[in-house]
Order: sequence, then structure tokens, then C-alpha cells
Amino acid sequence: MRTLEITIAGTLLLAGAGLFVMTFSPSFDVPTFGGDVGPAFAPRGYLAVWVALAGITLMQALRLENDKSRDPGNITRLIGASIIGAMTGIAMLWVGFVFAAIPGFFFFCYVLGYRRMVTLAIISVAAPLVIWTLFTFGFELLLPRSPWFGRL
Amino acid sequence: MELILQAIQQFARPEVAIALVIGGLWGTLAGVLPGIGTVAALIIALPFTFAMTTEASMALFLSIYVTSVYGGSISAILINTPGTPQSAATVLDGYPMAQAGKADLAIGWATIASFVGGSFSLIILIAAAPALARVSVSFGPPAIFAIVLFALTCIAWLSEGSMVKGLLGGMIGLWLTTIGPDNYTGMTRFHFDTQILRGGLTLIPILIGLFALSEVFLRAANVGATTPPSKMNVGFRLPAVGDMIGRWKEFLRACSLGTFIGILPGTGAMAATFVSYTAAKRYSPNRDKLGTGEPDGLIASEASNNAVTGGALIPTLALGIPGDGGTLVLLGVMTIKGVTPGFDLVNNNPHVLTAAFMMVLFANIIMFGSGMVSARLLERLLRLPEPLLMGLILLFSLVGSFVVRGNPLDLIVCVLAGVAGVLLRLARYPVAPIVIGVALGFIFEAKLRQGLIASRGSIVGFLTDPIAMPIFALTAVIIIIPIIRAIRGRKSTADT
Repeated sequence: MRTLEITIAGTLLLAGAGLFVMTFSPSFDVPTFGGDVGPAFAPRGYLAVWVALAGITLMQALRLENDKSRDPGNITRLIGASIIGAMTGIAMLWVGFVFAAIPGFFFFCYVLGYRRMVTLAIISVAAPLVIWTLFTFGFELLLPRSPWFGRL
Repeated sequence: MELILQAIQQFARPEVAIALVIGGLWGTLAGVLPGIGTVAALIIALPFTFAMTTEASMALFLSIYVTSVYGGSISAILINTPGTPQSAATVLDGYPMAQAGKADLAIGWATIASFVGGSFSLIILIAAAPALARVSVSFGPPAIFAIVLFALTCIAWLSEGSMVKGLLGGMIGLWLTTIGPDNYTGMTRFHFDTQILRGGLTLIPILIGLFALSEVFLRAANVGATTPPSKMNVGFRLPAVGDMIGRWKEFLRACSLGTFIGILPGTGAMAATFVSYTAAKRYSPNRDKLGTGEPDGLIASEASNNAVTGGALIPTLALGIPGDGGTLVLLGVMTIKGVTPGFDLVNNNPHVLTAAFMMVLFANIIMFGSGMVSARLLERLLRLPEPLLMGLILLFSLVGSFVVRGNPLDLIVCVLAGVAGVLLRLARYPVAPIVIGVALGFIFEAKLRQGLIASRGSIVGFLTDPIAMPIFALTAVIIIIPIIRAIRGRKSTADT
């Protein structure tokens, strides 16, 4: 966990510094009126504080002793679930809600340890279809569509 | 009187009544099931509100908000696992009571305490919110800027983990609101030459990603950690009236603490519960029995965590500043539905505010009813397979982030926020300040620039504003106290 804290603090420090420098680019140099401070003022202020706080966090993380009592649980399952969840969301943009949600739901539950395969297969098909029907025909709100079957 | 009649007219529609009942049942159920919690329960319901009227949406959300906190107590009593973090202290006396074969009485105490807590805070809400909102009309840009700064600092200070990480989260949230068009000059900031970022980011996908998706992913690491309830006389039994009246001081203390802590931005019900339980340990006449199945412990925990709901609604409805994660989602939905909390709500739509008060009252009654009739059913629901539940939350979260605008960017933002939320929470960064930063960022920058334009670019206008000045001073104190403590701590370590 110490390594993760150092990595995150370091990444935030670099990202904050990079964005801060960006506010000095010519694109932010636009004319203003009255007493307005311009579009760079607020983000520059936020980012200056961001960089300072990220620096303090990095120092704290470097001084931190590895806390072995903290158990994050099953990390493999956490990574698996995060990847499947993220892929399901992104895949919806390419293949639509239903075609992304069916395998996404199946593998997500499988990774989380659900092993009743027939039940899982039925729910994996039924749940996305019910949600899609409810939103498309019930609420008339379109969910992400596949390139193949119109509204589906 | 006319106002109440107008409110009843709005309130008496069938869709509002149905939304209240469904929200109450879903809120209780979501509270019972460990891992869902108030915010996720609201987020799951979010997509449905796009097809509902404003009043029905408000009814649904207020009902879920009020009842989900109560639902957490049932799993705390039956399986020694709080359904929501707010019910963490309920475990201490609820579970020992259930183990002694008095689960029905424990649920009875938790239900009556929750009802009293919710009703008490509602009375305070009815008295305080309109008054505060009326005063808010005299707040100029510097005062509003100062209040938002104070709220952000409070949230960072009180959120779990270190204050530095909380403040850093707040800054990240504020920066995220600067992506996209600048309303004063028309330029587009931080678009990184991509078309999709030119429109800017919105609150809901970030909120869903950081709160709901990251929670689902993190729960994946601990699936199967809960155990089903054993035979402990599950049901519902109200305590004797004399027993309840005899403990009026416990009720009053817990309700007052819960309401007060709820008003403070960012504190939330969890802090209220533990403060109230600590107070009970000190002042309760039965303090020696606390932790062994003592009703005073249940009152301290449940009355305070439900009193937070009304307290947190005061700054939300009166000033548009969310008191906790639940009110943050509520605020988002109200904004989408065109209801602007604060002066506009109180003066231009007072019937909506009165209807909101009635909704909270009815939500409390529904909560009481659902506890009475559904304890046995809820115990069975605790045996639902957790992976299926988590899978459904995943799907509803993704749907919720997309249907707000129908914009593919929102789905991407939600997924990225979910993954970032997991990493941040593993590294002990509180995610609430980021979301609050996004919620308040637009108004924060707008008021800063409006104030500067009004004072022709001089910061003196902010420092001499009679309302802003004391708030700035309070904010400075909040920032300075931990620094002094850290320096003192270091000195004492060096001395030893």
C-alpha cells in the first residue's frame, strides 16, 4: 500500500505541475473586461494549491511505514472486477448496452465467485434485456445502441 | 394555509404517492443489503427519474434518502454487519440483543429511534430552512464564495483520512469544473485538442464513478465476508411505552446531536452516530451496560443517524450546499429537474419546499411501516447472492451515467472515475471532497469572478464584506488548528 500511496502522490504532483504550466500557454491569454481576472486565474489557483498539497502528500507517503495490518482483501478479484466493469462500460459505446451488458454481467458475477452457471446465464441475459426494455419502451430513454439492430 | 393546500395538491398526485412508497421500500431494502448504502441506492434510482415529474422524482429521492439510513440497522442487528456505514454503532448493542433472542425488540427499538430522530430533524428543517434561505438573499458574491470555501474546508477536515488528502481531493474536484467553456470569455479550457472535452464535464458521471462504481469494485475484494443470520427471534416488537418515555433524555440528546452534525457540510451520519454513542457512554444512566445489548445504545445510534437526514437537508434546500453524499445526489437531481435550491426555492416555489417537508414526513412514516411489516422478509433478502447484487449495481450505475445527457463522454468519465476511485480509496484518499469540489466548483469560480468584477479586481471587497469576513476567519481557524496540532505533536515527540 505504501508503494501505491507514493505512486499516486507522485502522479498527482506531476499531473498538477503539468497542468499548472499549461495555464501559462498563449491559449489562456485572452482579453478580459472590467475587473475580471481571466480564464486562467481560477484553475491556476486550484493547481498551485494542488501541487503544494500533492508535494506534502508525497513527503508523507515517503515517510510512511508499510502497514501490514491493512488487508485490502482479494486483490486479484478486485483487479478482475475493475477491468470487467470498465470494459463493459466502454464496450457499450461500440456494441450497445445489451450486447456489452450480457457478457459483462456474466463475467463480473463469475469473477466475484458466483458459480451456479445456469442461473447466472439466465440472469445475465434477462437482466440487461429487462433494463433495456424498461428504459427504451417504458421511459422512452435510449441506452447506447449497437450498430446492427436499430434501438437494441 | 394556502401554501399548504398548494403543497397538498402537488403531493396528492398518484405518481408522487407511488414514488414515495417505492422509494421507501427500495431505500429500506438497499439499507439492509450490505454494500449498497444511501448513495448507491439513490444512484440506482437516478435513471428512472428522467421519465418522472419533478415532484415524483423529489418524492422518490427523499424517501430513499430517509429510509436507507434506517435499513442499515436491520442487517446490523441480524448479521452483525451494518448495511450502511451510518449504522456501524448499531452493531454494538443490536447484535448482542439479537443473540440473546430479542432481535424483534432490537428492531423495534431501532425503528422507533429512527422515527423519532427523523421526525425531530424534520421539525428543525421546517423551522430553519426557509429562514436561512430568506437571509441568503442578502449574501453577495463574496459571502457565497466564503460559504463555499468554508464548506469545502469542512469536508476536507472531517472526511476520513488526512486533511491534506481531503483538501487535495477538493482541489482536483474544483479543477475538473474548469474543463470546457469559460462563461466569461468564451474560451475553452483544458480540452487537450479533443472534441469531446469541449463541452465540459458534469457532476453525475463523476459522482456515480467515484461513489458507486468504485464501491462495487472494492466490494469485489471482500465478497463473502458476511454471514447469514442464525435463529434469533426475527420479527418486530415495540418496546413498552414506559420504557420509551423513561429514556426521553437519550432520545433528545441523540436527536439534537444528529441534527446539529447533519447541518455541518460533509460530516454525515457516521460521524453523528459515533459522537452520539460516545455521549451516551458518558451520560447515559445505563452507560455500564452499553455494548451488551442496551437499548440506550440503539437510541444513541439510530436516533442520531436518522436525525442527520433533516439536518443535512437544511443547507441543501436553503443554500444549495450539500450536507452529505446523499444530499449531493439529491441536489444533482433537483438541478437537472430545474429546481434551484436556496432563495429561489423558498420565495418563488414555496409550495415545492412545503411539499418536500411533507415528503420527508411521509417517508418517515413509510420507514416505520416497512420496519413493522417486513423484518422477516428483509432477513430472507439478506441471503441473496452478493455477486448478483453487485452486478446489477454495476449495470444501473452505467445506465445512470449515460441517460443524463445521452453523451458517450459521460460513460467514459464514469468508468475512469470508478477506476480512479478504487486507486484513491486504496491509497486512503477520501473521494467525497472530489465530488463536492465538482458540485460547488462552478458557483465557486463564478462568485469569485463576479466579486472581483464588482470590486474592479480588488480582493479588498472580499475581506471587508461583513458576512464573508467571519466565515473566512472560521475557515482559517479550521485550516490552522491541524497545523498547530501537528507542530505540537512533533515537538512532544522530539522532547521524548
